[in-house]
Amino acid sequence: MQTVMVYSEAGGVAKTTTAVSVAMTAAESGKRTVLIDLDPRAATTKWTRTEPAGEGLHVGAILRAKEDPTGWAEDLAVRSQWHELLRVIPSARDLSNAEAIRDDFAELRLKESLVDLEADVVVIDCANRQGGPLTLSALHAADTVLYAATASDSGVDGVTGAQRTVDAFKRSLSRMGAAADIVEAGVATTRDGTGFLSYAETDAIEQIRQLAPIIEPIVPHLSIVPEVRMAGDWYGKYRKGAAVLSAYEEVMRKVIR
Amino acid sequence: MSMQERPERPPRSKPVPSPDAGVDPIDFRPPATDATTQANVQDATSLSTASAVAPAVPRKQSRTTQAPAQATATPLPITSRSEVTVQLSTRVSLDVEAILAEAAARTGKKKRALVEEAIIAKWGSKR
Repeated sequence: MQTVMVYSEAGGVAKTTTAVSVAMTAAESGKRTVLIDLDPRAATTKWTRTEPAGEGLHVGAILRAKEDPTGWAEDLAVRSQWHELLRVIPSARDLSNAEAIRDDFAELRLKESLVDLEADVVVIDCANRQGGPLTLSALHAADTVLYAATASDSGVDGVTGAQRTVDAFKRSLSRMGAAADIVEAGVATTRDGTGFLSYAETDAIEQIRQLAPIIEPIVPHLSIVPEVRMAGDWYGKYRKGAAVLSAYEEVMRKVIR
Repeated sequence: MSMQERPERPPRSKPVPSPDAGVDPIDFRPPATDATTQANVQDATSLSTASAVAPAVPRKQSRTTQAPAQATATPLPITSRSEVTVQLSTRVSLDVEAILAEAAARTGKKKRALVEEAIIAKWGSKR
C-alpha cells in the first residue's frame, strides 16, 4: 500500500484539487483508493459530499483517540458515490481541536489506523500548516509527499515551507536513529487556463523547478473545476474537464506505484 | 497435528467519536493532561496525613517533559491566578477513594474540583 500526502504550507494552491484528482484517477485506474481529508476546513469532504459513518466518526476520531486506533481507518472509510473503488475518510471542523493537543505519540495514531486497511493507495489531503499535529500525523503515515502548487507566489511559498517542514521531520527522525524514508515525489503544478503563461506564472514555475521537480504536465486550472466543486461532482464526467483529467491522470501515473 | 500459521489476533477496538466531537474550535479548551492531573493530586484537597504539599499552582508539564530529580531546579511558571487555599488533612475509606479516582479519570477534572463540587452540592454554596 502506498500512502501519499498532498502538502503545501500555502492555502489555495490546489492541494485539495490535486489530492482528490490523484485519488479519483487512481480509483479509475483500478486501484482500491482511500482518500483522507486531514484538513479541518474539510474541502475534500464537502466536494465529494461524504457523510461520516456515524456522528463524530471522522478523521478526528483517530487523531483524538483515547483507545488504540489500530485499524480504525477501515471502519471510518466511506464508499464514495463517485467510484466504487474510492472511499473517503471525512473531516470536520472540530478536527481543529486536535491542533490544541500535544498528547504523547498522538502523531502516530493516523499511521496506526491504516494497519490492515484494504487499499492499494491512500491519499491524504493535508492542511496548510507549518508543522503541527496534523502535518506530523501525515508525515508519519505517508511514504510519499506530493507538493501542490499553483504558478504563483503562493505556490512557491507553499512548496518552500513544505520542504522545510519535511526536511525538519527527516532530521528529527535521523536524530532518533529512525529511518527517514519518506520520498518527495515532486510538485503537482497548476496554472490558470491553457494559453500563454504570464510573466508571473513563468517566474513562479521557474522558481518551483529550482525547489523540486515539477511532475509534468502542468495542470490547467479551468473553470470546470470550481463549478464541479460547487456541485459536488467529478469533472472527469464532463467534456470540459477532459484537459484537466488527462493532466492529472498523467500526474497520478508518475506518482502512484 | 496441523498447526496454525500464526496466533489469533486480538480483537480490535471500534472507532468512537473523540471526546470533543461537535465542540467548535472556538469553544474548545484542552483538558488538563494526565501529568497535570498527577501533579495536582497533592494540590487537591489532601486526603491523607502525608507531608505538607505546595499550594495550588497548576503545572503545564506533559509526561514527556517531567524533569528527572537531578535536573536543574527551574521555577515553574504560574499559569493561573494564585488563590488562597488551605490544606485539608483527613482520611477516607478505600471505597470513596476509588470513586474519586474513577470520577477524575472519567471527567478529567482534578480531585480537588470533584471534592469541592460534592461538598458544595451537599452542604451549600461558597458565598
